[in-house]
Amino acid sequence: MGIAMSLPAMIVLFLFTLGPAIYAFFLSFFSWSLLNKMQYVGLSNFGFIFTSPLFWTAVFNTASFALVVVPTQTLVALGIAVLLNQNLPARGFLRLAFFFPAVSSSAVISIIFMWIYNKFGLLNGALGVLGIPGPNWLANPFFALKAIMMMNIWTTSGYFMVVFLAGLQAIPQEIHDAAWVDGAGSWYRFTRITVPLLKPTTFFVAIMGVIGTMQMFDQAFIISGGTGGPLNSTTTLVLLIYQYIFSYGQVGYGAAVTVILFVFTMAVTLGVNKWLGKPIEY
Amino acid sequence: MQVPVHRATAKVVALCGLSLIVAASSASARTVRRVSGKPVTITLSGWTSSPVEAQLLTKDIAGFSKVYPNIHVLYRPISGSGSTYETVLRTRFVAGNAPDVIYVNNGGESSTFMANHDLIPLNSYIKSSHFTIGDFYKSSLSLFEQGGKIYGIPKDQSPLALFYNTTMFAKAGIKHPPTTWAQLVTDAKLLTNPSKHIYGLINSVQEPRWAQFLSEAGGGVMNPAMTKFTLTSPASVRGYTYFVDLYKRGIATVPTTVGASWGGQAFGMGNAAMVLSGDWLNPFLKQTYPGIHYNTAVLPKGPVSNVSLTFPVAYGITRDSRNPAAAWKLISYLTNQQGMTRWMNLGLALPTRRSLVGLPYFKHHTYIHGLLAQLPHSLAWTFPPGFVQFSSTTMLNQTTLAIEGKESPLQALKNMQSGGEAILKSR
Amino acid sequence: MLYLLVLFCGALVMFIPFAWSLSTSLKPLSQSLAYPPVWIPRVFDWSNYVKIWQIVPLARWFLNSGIAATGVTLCNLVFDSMAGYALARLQFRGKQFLFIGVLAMLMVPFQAVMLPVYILLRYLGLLDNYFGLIIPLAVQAVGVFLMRQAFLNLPADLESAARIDGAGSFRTFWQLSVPLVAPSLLTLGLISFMLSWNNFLLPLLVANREHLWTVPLGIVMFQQEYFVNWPYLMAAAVMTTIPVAVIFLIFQKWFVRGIATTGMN
Repeated sequence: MGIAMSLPAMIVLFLFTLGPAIYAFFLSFFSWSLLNKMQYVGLSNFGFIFTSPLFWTAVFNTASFALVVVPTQTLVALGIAVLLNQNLPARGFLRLAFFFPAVSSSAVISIIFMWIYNKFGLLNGALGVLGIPGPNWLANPFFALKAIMMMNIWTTSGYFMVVFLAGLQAIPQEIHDAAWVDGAGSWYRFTRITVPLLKPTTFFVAIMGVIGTMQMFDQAFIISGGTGGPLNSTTTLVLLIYQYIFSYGQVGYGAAVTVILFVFTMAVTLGVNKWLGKPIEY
Repeated sequence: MQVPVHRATAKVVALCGLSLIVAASSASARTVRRVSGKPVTITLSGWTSSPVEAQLLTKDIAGFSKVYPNIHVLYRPISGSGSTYETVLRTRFVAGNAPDVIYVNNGGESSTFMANHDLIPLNSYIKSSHFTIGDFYKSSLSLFEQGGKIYGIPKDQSPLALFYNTTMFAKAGIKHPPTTWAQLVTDAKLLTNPSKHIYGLINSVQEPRWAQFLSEAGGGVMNPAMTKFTLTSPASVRGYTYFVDLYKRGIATVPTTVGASWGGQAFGMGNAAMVLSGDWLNPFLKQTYPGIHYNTAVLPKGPVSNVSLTFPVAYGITRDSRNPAAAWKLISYLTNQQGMTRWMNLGLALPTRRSLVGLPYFKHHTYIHGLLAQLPHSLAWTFPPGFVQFSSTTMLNQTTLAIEGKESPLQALKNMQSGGEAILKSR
Repeated sequence: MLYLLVLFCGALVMFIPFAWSLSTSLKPLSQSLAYPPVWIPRVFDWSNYVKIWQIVPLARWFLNSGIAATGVTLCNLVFDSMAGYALARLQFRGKQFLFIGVLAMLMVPFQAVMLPVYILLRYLGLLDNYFGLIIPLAVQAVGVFLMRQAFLNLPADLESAARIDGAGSFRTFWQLSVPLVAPSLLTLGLISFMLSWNNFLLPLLVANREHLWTVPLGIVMFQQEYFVNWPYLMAAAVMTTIPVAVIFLIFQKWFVRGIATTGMN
């Protein structure tokens, strides 16, 4: 009975998650354009990928995206959560406002931000009021990825804020009360009580952030029109996989990058699991 | 991959409704085998350069159904952006259910589709139906030929010409559009006013916006046989440097500088005095920026010629077609002398048949004259298989670096040359 | 008080992009390009909201999104809770193995397997098909977890009582346990619905034909075409956001609960 009841779920999960992961390994040893015959090429796809400057650009872009976005969104989320955890008026409304972007469609948000980031858009208009000449955000290779970073932080901070709020509410009020009676200031209470007790939540937020940023695709695809431009500055690993497979018909290269991304994601996840000493039970 | 990049929003509600109804039936329709006398259904797919195109093609197909009541044609345009059309087509080939008749693009994946035999040769059909192939411009027909086999019948073409804003020209006291490189520079300088975000010329810097300058200087991207790259020949360097200098001097710029996403939009917004474009810009301006006064002219002449690029589009039959004979009847109906005349009279593009350049329709529409005059001086733009990524990224990136002054034009050309040669060698 | 000020400024930042899209959507094309930007349109031009339905098959896209999201939601409710129940409440061989398997699958992001998934869908004939939009998302490893957690929290005595009365395990599951975890089901339903409604990559792979596009995909395709018309785009963006906002406002408590318990979007 147990098998029967879990079977449909297991079949779908295997077909669309675990099976494909295994199949990607298999494909990474072949040269294939989807249209022609598959040809076994050994490790040469990996050889090509590891010597391809475009791959390293994608690694660099993805890594810098994660390195900027994850700490920033974690800090912002924590900050908002701590502030919101006070007994403030309009708490519900504020929580709503911060959280709403996280449930909106990334496609729609990307399009709204493309308009805001236009050379003569809202952001540059606001900077103009301050006397700052705004750059051509999305056409400038120096700014394009940073613009996507800002947008991403804007979108996901509210989401992780909710996770932090849940973590905060799990901290017994008595601990705070006791510290308050002892005369501890609010900063002291924050750094010595809240932050250490929130450690598991913070780890969780960080790991979800890393995994999420490494898979960034929608925003880069939409904003660059699928090209990863300007000058490959928004080519992320997943966008590169997409391009290899669907735009350039180089399935083997796409599969090789897939395997690399997969191994890396696994490594990060398992590494943090080990660090925490237990599997993540979301 | 030229024309789809300029495709307009083309979702005519009526058509979409139609496509919903036919969607369910299309799979079964495909499996209907041709039995003589029995009705057959064939599907025709292409991108749409403007909403009108889909409407007009539907009308033309309705005429076909009257002549061939036994052949039912489903017109199913493929919508989407830039290279999406070919990506979609590729997935349809993979799935084995490509439409019977498709638009075959210049450049892009077309050469790959031909090399893979995703399209079928049309020679026997041309012969048996006495189709007059000799009337077609050799330059456009040869794009769809490989090894003596013809894989597509060019239905129309769009050469790149100079669009200029007549109001701005009059205000600046310029009487004629520039006819030489030197005049282009002088005029662009006069017309540029960065404080008002107005530039002499606004074009993106993809390869099909600068390759013609190489040809005008007597060079070219590749040799005619497309067996090697000739980007670093002195003539090519000269042409490329001229193009790059327009941007470096600040009299030309890319569309995003003025908040536009393509040159034609910048022209419509009144930020560009001139733009290099094909006739897809005409319906766009009519619809979105009807207040713009403009005209067209041939490209300013370079040291050697005033050659421009042209982008022919063909009809081809896919290997998935179960009714190639019926498909050929449709292609022949749409592209024979009368068919192309009907199509030309709709004013969407220019003919690929030499005999049709003198149509009265063209005489009556002055803004087509520049494009028409460019036709004899144009090269069909294409690439051999395997260069989609190269032309859409490497060439664009190198040229972006060059116009921003981060790399000399010569260095950019050298990088492109070695990148292109490496791809040629690996094939 | 200072906190409140900071928070309100932050909330404003969150709100501005949506407000700007609303503002732009009410302007004619020429006015939308005004620089410096103007917040309040001179005249409120509602025609963009009418025209967009005529230019693109927006209604069809909404219908597609609705069908796909409903399908995904129903599948997840049924399959995830069945598997969750089995993992939580039933004893069977290989249970531990399956549990670890599900755990491993939590770590496989869709983006990393899009190619094999695409090939599989093609092989199964699910491209250009509603099933292609639904089946790959029909079961979420995280949903199985959520439901397992919910069933674990039910008191065990309840079920043993039912068993003594002679009810089979499926009947116990269906008639007794499922109603008791209704709050978790609602959370799971919301997560699944949003996952599908907002999904961009899967429709991009599956829906090659325009009549199968979902709202996010359709809008992106519309934007990438060359008739860049920001008022139209923003009108479309506003209309896409409205259903999300309504669902969000009604069920916000459950969203928060869903994230707090699963940590998944």
